[in-house]
Amino acid sequence: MEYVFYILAIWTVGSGLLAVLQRNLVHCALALIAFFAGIAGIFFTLRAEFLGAVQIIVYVGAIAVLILFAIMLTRHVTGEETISPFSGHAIWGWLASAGVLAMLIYSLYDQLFIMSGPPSQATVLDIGNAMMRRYAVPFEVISLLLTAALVGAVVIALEEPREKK
Amino acid sequence: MYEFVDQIFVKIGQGIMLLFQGQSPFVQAFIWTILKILPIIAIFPGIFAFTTWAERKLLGRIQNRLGPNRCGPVGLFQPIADGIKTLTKEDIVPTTADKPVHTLSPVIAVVASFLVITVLPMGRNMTGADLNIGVLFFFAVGSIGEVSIFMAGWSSHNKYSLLGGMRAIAQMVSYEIPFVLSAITVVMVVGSLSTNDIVQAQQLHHIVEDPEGFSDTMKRVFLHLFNNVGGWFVFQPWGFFGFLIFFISSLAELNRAPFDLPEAESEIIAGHHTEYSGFKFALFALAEYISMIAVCGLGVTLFLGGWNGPHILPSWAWFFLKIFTLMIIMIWIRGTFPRLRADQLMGFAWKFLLPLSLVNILAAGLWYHIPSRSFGWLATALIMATAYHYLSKFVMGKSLEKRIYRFA
Amino acid sequence: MITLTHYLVLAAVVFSIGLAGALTRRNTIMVLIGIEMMLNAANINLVAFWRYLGPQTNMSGQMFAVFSIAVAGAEAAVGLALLIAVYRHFKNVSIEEISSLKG
Repeated sequence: MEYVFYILAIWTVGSGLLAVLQRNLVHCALALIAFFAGIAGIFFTLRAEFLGAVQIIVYVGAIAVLILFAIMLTRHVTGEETISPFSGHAIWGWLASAGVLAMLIYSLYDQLFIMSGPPSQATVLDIGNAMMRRYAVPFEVISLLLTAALVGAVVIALEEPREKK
Repeated sequence: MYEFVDQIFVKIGQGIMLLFQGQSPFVQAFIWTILKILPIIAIFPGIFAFTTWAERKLLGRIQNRLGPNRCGPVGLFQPIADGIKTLTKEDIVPTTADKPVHTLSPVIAVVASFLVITVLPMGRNMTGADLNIGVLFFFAVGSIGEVSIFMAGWSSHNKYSLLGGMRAIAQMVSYEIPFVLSAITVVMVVGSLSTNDIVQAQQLHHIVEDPEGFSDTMKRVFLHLFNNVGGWFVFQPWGFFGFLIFFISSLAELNRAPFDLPEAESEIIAGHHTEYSGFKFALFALAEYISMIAVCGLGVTLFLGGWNGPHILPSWAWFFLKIFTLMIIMIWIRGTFPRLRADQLMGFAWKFLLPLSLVNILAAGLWYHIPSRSFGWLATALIMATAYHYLSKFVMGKSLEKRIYRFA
Repeated sequence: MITLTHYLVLAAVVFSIGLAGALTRRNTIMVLIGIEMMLNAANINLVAFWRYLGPQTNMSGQMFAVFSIAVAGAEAAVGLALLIAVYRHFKNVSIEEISSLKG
């Protein structure tokens, strides 16, 4: 069953690369949707099914749609494809991220993570119990945060009424 | 005898599996999966063809005309004629369109529609995949359909397509909230996200363990008669309102009338599938009708008791009978109501359905905890009726007053 | 055998791709896309550690990931609203053009 992980990993990394390398912005967003679906698959292989389904609902169904709407609303009508999508000093960005990758892989190299028991399993019932008992305060705080984000986003993006001079 | 007819498909499947008994477990799992998928792929497009015929005939009759009656008796071969027509039409793609996205979007729509059918329990022990997150899987994969509509609208490089696509997505995202919230009441009462568990919980002996005021024999007779019918959640007040919210939101999710502003011909030519012709348009129609069947299936599972029914018919017959009834009601609604305007549509979702579904969750929670079921029924009915009354006054405002007709 | 290290390497690769996207692209929306990718990489890490190393009854990994998804959603909403407001003012979403603090 290892090939499932490898297929999903190749899918995820491939669509992630497409998402940052494409010229056309909508193609990047669509590759991002494939990336989110790949991540949801990784969650399913980790036996976190609830999280995988939530990932699809929130990321693919909501955040990706939000990104697509924002792309539509901020599109340049002309001169879209002539300039390079990469900024002038892009090479330093590549070098920095390559450095970060090297550092992370080096820290993982030869590490032996010893499992202290059988792998954890959780049903939705366990998640509900945890959410309502041990993590009730973060749950309420998250609801406040989401309300604030909702109201804030609407207020920020609202068009101000033009005053007649 | 009843058991045999009820489980006949399961027994056929197990019989075919006996042929492959000596193989490796991988081959056995593969064959078992194929055995579960093939009937879905075979039956549901057949139901789709039947639905297109039924829709055109019923709409015709509602509109005082005959509908298709030339191909075959009563026009029954019309879907075959439609199929041949769409398959042989030229596939036109605009030159400035984004070709890979243009081709991919009907594919994603069809895949999303078919994928959700696997979690519907079509009979006793007859679920495609009894996931323990069945309902959540349905909503997750269903929300992938919105992406396909955006892809269709944007890739056609056409003002009308883009506008229709954006409107469709705004509508679908708005109505997804009451859609999910009304299903959450059922999940909350049952305590499980698995569709099979939800259907099993809709038998009366789970809900009314001890009918009060009845003698022992009467209890047994009562439970025996109404076990398979009385437990449906639609007969509880929170289930009734939940079902209404679910049904109306599902009409909006499917872009069907009276919420079909994004794809109505007199409004925006054909919305996001303006630039599609031939087989791709047929794929979009297939995706829409299969989604309709799947969503009706979920409504039946959550509220109408799934495959429960008196033991006159087998369980799978009850399931499909209930789906057909819901689909005919959807077609009936299409022929009866005028289209809603965009702002009326949004106002209805955010100002009416969303608060009503929140009160529904509250009422269902109260019902769950009140020990006496009849008092619980009355209390929740009162709460829901009050909420409905005041919310509708708030949303509709003046137009709820009595109309005065003047015939000049 | 898929061990924990496989998932951690995958998360590291995805994180660096997201970082590269956020640092090198000219469009502000691409920066947001890179940020979302980095958040997803962190989520993979959290769930992988929950699966492989936690004691059986500890739900912290999954809970952290759920809250991370919620926070990412809130941040994407506010970020894109800001983007739209900025676009309305500068008529441009290239990060090299939105460089003056005036206005």
